Amino acid sequence: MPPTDKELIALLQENDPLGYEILVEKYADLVFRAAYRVVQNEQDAEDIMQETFLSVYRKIGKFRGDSKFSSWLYRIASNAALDLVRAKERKEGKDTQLDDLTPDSEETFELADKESLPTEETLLQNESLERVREALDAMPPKLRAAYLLYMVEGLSTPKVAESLDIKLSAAKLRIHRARKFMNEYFA
Amino acid sequence: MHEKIYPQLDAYFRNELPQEAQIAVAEHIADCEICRKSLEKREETRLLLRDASEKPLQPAGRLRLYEKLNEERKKRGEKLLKIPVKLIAQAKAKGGAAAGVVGDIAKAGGQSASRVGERSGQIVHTMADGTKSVGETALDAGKKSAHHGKDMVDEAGQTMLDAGRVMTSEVADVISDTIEHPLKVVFAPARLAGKGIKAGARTMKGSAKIAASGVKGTVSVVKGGLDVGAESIRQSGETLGAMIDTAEGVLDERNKVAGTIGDGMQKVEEAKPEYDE
Ligand SMILES: [Zn+2]
Repeated sequence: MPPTDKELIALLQENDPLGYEILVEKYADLVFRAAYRVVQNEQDAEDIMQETFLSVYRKIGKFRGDSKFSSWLYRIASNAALDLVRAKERKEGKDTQLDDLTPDSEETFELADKESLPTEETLLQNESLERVREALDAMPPKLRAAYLLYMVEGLSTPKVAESLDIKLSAAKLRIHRARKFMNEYFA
Repeated sequence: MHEKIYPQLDAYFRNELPQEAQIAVAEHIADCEICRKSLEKREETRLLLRDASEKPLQPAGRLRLYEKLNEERKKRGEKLLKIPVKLIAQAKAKGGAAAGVVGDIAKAGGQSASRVGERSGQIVHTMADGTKSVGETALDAGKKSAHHGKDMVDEAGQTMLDAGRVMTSEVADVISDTIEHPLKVVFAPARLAGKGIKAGARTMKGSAKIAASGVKGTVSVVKGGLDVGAESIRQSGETLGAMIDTAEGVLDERNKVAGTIGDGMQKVEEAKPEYDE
């Protein structure tokens, strides 16, 4: 029987090699996907995955089990991925402050008004995989990460906030902006 | 009932309704075609976004993760992780397919080059014929033509040698690297495939170069022809035609090599693991 996360954490905290073998088998896919979702690039995602697993070495002693182990890993991976994206964008001199701003009044209104955007049911109807890939590629990484957690993983907005280690209001704003982005992209 | 349920479908789909409401929606959709269709569309959208945003972790990537962790553990003098045999087999299968691709590409490149060489030979022949029939006055132009024809054959040969050399020396690099670092043996085939494709690309570039030099030669021939009169222009025209044929042939060959590379990538993609414990 596969060990529970609790047993796994105990093994990792004792630095038992078996713990790391289980960690790779159980969580490498999740961590790789978390990273890929942000960076949209295989090589970077692999680097971030390695970095995430190495940081388990450094951080596992401090893991207290007050959040789910998988969310904890997910957070390390997506933060590392966002750090990388920020570093790259800084190098390219892009403005990444966009979603750190508070919403403008129109957006506050839109956030409260569920009818302002088409429903998920109709949004991407008849779009090709290639076009959707392009749209996601063009979307700012911070928005993309929140949007995909919400739309693909089906996380609630509080869970998205927890996964990305941001405020609930920021999570809502990012998802809203991402949907708007898709809507405009395919308009 | 439908009017009440329909607006809740989003929350239902996201599993965010209180249990009672969740059950009420489930009961309704069992009988309601419109709501069922609507939920299906949501799932389609979700899957589309998932497919557009995800790449699975490849066996080779997982293997590199094990190696990275072991590198760190080795530094710390800790017991190393056991890498699953199945994973090594999977990573190898992709590598093995990649190695096969190298062979295919090399073969296609070689065939192309020999065909290009053959055609270049034909041009020399045409040029030589031209030289003969125009007589003494055309000798100069003919010489030029022959000269350029020979250059082209030389260049074709040289390019092929280059491509061959590139492949051999780079392949040798990988092999010697592999001897020094036995763990890398698993990745060597994949790396070789990378080199093979590079060498293939160089071969293609070489073919383009040959075509270009053919055109250059033709220009000289035409120029020479102008000096020696109408007859030699006619001959030059024939030569030009032959050269255009060759240029087209080169393009054709290039496409064939590109096709081989594409097929190869497909093979790597579809490689099935072999278990050789
Ligand atoms: Zn209904």
